[in-house]
Amino acid sequence: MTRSDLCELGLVDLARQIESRLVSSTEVVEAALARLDRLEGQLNAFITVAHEQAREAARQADEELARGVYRGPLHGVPVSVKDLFFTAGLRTTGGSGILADWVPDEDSALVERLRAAGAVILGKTNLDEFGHGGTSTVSHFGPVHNPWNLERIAGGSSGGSTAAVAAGIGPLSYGTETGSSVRRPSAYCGVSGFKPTFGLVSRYGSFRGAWSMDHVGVFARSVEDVAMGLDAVAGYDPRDPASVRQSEPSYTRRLDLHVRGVRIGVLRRFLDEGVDPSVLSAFEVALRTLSAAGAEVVDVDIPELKYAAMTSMLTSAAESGANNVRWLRERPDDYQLEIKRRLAGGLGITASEYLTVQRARYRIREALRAAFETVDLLANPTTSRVAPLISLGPRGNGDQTYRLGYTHSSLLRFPSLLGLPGCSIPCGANAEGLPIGMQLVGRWFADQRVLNVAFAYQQATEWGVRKPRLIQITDLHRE
Amino acid sequence: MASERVARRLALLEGVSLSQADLESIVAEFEDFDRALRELEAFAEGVPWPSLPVQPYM
Repeated sequence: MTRSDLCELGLVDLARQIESRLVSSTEVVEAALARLDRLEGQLNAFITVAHEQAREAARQADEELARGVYRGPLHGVPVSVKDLFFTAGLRTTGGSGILADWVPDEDSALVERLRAAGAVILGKTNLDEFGHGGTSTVSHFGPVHNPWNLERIAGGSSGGSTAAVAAGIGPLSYGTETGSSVRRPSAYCGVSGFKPTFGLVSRYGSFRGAWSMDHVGVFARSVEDVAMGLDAVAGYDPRDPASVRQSEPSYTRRLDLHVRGVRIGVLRRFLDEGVDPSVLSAFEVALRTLSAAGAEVVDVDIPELKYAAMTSMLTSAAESGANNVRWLRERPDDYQLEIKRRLAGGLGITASEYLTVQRARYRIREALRAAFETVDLLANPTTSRVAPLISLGPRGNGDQTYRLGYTHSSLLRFPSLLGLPGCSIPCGANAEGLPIGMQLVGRWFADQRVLNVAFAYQQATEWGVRKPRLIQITDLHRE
Repeated sequence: MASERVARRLALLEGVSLSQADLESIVAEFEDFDRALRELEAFAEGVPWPSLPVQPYM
């Protein structure tokens, strides 16, 4: 098997190959590093690459396997993590000049669990500074470029992770979401991204954006791989005050294709304005696929959702501003300009205004609770358009979050505002081949249902197996 | 009234060193805040004050 072949294997297949010792972790990791080194100059998906640490971890994984020690499906598998997660002995910057040279002495909970599972950390992926953005262009380390078209954004703030996965640099990556930072870049980069119910995955040892909305997310090239990646890291952690007790995660084992009778609600009113025709068309085809599989697709209306975007942004602004007050006072000029202004502005929200926003949040939450009495999932296009051009700047992601009305921003932001499980999976492409994503959102703790319906959809379509032309060119130079 | 409101918000940024261009950008964002907050105050009318733990689904 060539190095290119190894890079194209998904996590499930790779795990099988490593466990059977048909390939070694060292071979797989070297293949991933070779692809990374070949493409990174164009993508800028990574801030720090752990060449030697990864090789040493792969060597140890192979030694363990030779001794009959097998830690599970992630044993010896190369993965990347967003540079918000602490990695002991490996630089962790948050995408910021403030921490450009900081090396933590402890792992985040996420990385602890990955190492315990035998995963090999390839490196730290690029992001909008401290996760505050939707483009992955506002980084001290420069913008991430979309593998599908290098002039376009990868989306943010987890753009480095999604670009890496889309480019085949490791089958799995982990990121975070406060507003839309798992689902938006997943849609733009044509990968499967999942944001679990709030509290399912520990955030201990990562930089906080907004305490009440930060989630850990998983990226892979298939939902089956996402489920496997989620199994390795989900679980109660008393060090994260938001962590919830749950039974042993086994999302992979409980994946099934049964969508017959699943009620899927579509918020039609939000699709009347500002959604690109190619995105809408791909979404409608996706709905027909789900209907053909036996799902019951119905129109629903949740008018309260039109306040979701502004509620999310004001909550995030106040919490993020407060979280950054020390550095804003001590090192304001070490922030990216856009981020400094946004965080400082958040300090200007008063306590009583923040509480008013939380009352609005409560009302939206109760509206969703009622809606989930009539439907099992909500579906919509993840984003209103394909990945915008990098040249449009940080506001170019199209977020008009303070504009009242049935704008797409509210559909994008309500899952993380309310802690609902949600995913984005590829469902089409525009005339230029740029990916389009479909978002599925379930009620609280219905993570398995979301994954199952997404999995069933992927088994019925080919959208998840396309790869960027950048990679196709690379494949011409097989080793 | 508007300038008083802006001044009150800016007072909350005490200790943060900002350029004139920073301030202009932030004040423009304050206008967005005010617009959104007017809508949310009306929307939240009658809703109980929060008294729940951090998990939003409880």
